[in-house]
Amino acid sequence: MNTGSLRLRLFIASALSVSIALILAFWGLGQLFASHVERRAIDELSVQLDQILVGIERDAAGQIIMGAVPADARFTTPFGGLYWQIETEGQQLRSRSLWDFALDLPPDHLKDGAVHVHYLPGPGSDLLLVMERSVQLPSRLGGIPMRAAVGMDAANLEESTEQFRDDLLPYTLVLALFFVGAGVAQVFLGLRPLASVGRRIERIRAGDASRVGEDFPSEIRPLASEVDALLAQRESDIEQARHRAGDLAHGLKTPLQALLGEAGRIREAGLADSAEAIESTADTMRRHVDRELNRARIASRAAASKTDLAEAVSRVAMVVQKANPTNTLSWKLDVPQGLAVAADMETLLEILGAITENAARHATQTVQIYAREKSQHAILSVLDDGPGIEPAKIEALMRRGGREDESGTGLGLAIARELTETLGGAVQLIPRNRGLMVQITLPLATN
Amino acid sequence: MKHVLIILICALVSPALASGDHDDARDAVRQQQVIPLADIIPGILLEFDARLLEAEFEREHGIYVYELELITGSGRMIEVMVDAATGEILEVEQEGRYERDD
Repeated sequence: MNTGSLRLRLFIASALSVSIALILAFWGLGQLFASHVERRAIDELSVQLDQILVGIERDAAGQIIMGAVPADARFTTPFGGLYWQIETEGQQLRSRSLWDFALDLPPDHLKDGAVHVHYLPGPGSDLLLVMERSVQLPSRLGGIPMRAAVGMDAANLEESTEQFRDDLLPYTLVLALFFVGAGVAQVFLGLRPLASVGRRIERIRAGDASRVGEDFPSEIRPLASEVDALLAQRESDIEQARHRAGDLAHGLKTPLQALLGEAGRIREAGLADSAEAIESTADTMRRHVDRELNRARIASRAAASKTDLAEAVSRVAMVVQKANPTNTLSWKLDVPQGLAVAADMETLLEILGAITENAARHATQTVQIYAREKSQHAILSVLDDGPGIEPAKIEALMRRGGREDESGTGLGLAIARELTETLGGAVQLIPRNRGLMVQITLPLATN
Repeated sequence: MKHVLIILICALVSPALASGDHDDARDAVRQQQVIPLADIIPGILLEFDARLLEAEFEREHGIYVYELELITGSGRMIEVMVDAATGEILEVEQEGRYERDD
């Protein structure tokens, strides 16, 4: 599948189809008009032909003459545009407009009364539309057969059609502009939901939403549902992996205990160095196992818990203030009532305690704590006006496992971060102009 | 000879008889005595930037002439006498003075 723009593709398709449709319409209307003009001309010729027939007389010498010449001036002006000609055996009468030219009527034998229409050469290089009829003259005119023809300049007909086309062209162009404009509008309106799918997925990646949702046009809904199904699948995969990690930790607990017991027996056998090495390794393993078990315990408890954030914050602030009675910091708390997060009070206090203590230690005058709600999450910000941390150092502080060789500051933040992530949240350190801002995102309690 | 006679009779009897002059013109053309009017007209209309209002076919001083009445694009009416045998312009009559472009 090639890339490129859908909009461009749709636009080109619509511009092409509009152009083809309008060119066909322009051509077709021109043809219709031409045949209409010809029909009207034939109607007029038929009237003129009747007039010619009425005007035929016979003079004293028995010759056919045109008694009452039709009134139309075009018949009498040389090359006037309207012509007549009658032929009997041995006699030919012509309108003055034909001047020195005679119509060369084709030698088709017409039935009496039958009407034929031809295009014949006229005087000069003009083409004439000619209507011809065979009649039997009445006995007072000799009772002889006669051919009568009237013609008009075909150039006039063509000119009318040309003029019609010239008049039609601006309208066609306006229509083309309108259709192309409508096509552009359609494409933009029609494709807008696609951009909103993109924005939803962006929000999911940013953690502001968990699902794409179903409120899309039916053509896009399958895509959105598939993405949502994929997300759900991933979540359950992660959940399963966590369970397995918990099970693994649980399964390792007893063997580790046995290993430590075995190490004791090795020590009794006099191999103190070996026992020491085994015990230290087993201890490290047990710490990892305990951490994982702890994480699993907190996570399973958190899902069902509901803890008031405002209460937790005020309790933590009070404890931290009491711990440093000599401190004269001013505390600014702004946490809305009724903001409940999915975490147990104990874990929440541990997280907030670590971060708030850190802020109080570094602040020079003020510690601010405020919270707001954003798309199913509570965002708690703890700000101090201390010396702050260099951006490069923030990364080192927050690195997973980086706590082993860091100072007390790092330790507290790293624990807080790990606990927060166990609760399905996140901790961000944001350097300020003066001091540091720690932003804790925690999922709101459901129900 | 017969046609010359007819023309003579026409000229004598009714010199201003317009209804028959086109038949005379046709006879003269068929005897190749004159150039068909349709061959002369386009050049003249172009030269005077004019439209043909009326034409007459006459015999004057022994030669056939076309007497053409034209209206120019600027609205002037002029009469042009053309030698029907050669197509040469013999005379241009008009109100005021006529200036040729060449």
